[in-house]
Amino acid sequence: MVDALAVSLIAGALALAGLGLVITALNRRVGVVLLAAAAVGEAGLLAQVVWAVVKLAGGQRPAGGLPVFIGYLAGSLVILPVAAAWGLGERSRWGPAVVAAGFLVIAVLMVRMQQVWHG
Amino acid sequence: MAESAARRTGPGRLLIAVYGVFALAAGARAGVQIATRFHEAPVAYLLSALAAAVYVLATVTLARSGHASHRIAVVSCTVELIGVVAVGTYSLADPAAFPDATVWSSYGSGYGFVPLVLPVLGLLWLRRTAVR
Repeated sequence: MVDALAVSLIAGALALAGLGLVITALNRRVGVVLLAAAAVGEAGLLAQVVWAVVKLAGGQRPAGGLPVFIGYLAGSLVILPVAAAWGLGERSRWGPAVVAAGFLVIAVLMVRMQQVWHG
Repeated sequence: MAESAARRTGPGRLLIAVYGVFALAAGARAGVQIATRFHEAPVAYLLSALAAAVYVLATVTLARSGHASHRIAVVSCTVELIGVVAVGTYSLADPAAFPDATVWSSYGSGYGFVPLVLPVLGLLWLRRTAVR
C-alpha cells in the first residue's frame, strides 16, 4: 500500500467532511460543490483500488489477511456514491451532513486498511 | 401519514445513514469471523451476527414508513441498547470469551462508542416522530 496516497486520502476525506459540515452549518442542501467533492474522493479511492490490485497481482499480501482487505477495498468504493445519493434526496441541511458522515467513514476505513495492510 | 414522511427526513436521514454503515460494518465483520475462525469463539461470533442482523433490521425499519415498521424499529433499537450494554459488560468481565473484538465489545469502544450512542438517538428519534 502506498502510504503517500493513503495519507492524502485520509487528509482529503477529513477536509471534505469538514466542507460538508460547513455546508450543513450554512443551512444549504447538497449541491454541485459537494457532489464534485464526492466525485473527486471516489476517483482517489479508485486510484487506490487500482494500486492495491497491482500490488496484490505482484505477489504482495496484506498482513491482516486478504479477505478482510478485499472487503475494505470493495466497501471503500460503495460508501461515497450511496452517501451522495442518500444526501441528495434530503432537501435540508441534513443532506450535506450525510455526505460529511460518508467522508468520515472513508477516513476511518483508510486508517483501518493501513492497519490491515501493515499488520 | 405525517409520521411516515417524518422518520426518514431531517436528522433521521443522518441517523439512517449511520445505521446503514453499522449494518454493513457489523455484517462484514461477522461474516469474516464466522467464515474464517468460527470454532475459536462461537458465542462471540454468533453475537456479532446477531448485532449485524439487528442493525440491518433497524436501518430498514427506520427508513420504511408505517406503524409496523415503527414498532419493529423500537424493538430493534431496544435490543441493540440491551445488547451493547450486556456484551460490553461481559467482554470486560471475561475478555477470554472475546478473542477479537465485536462491534459491541467494551461498549463499542473500537467504534468510537457510536454503538452505545446510536440506539439512544434512535429511540429518541422514534419517540419524536411517533404519531400521538
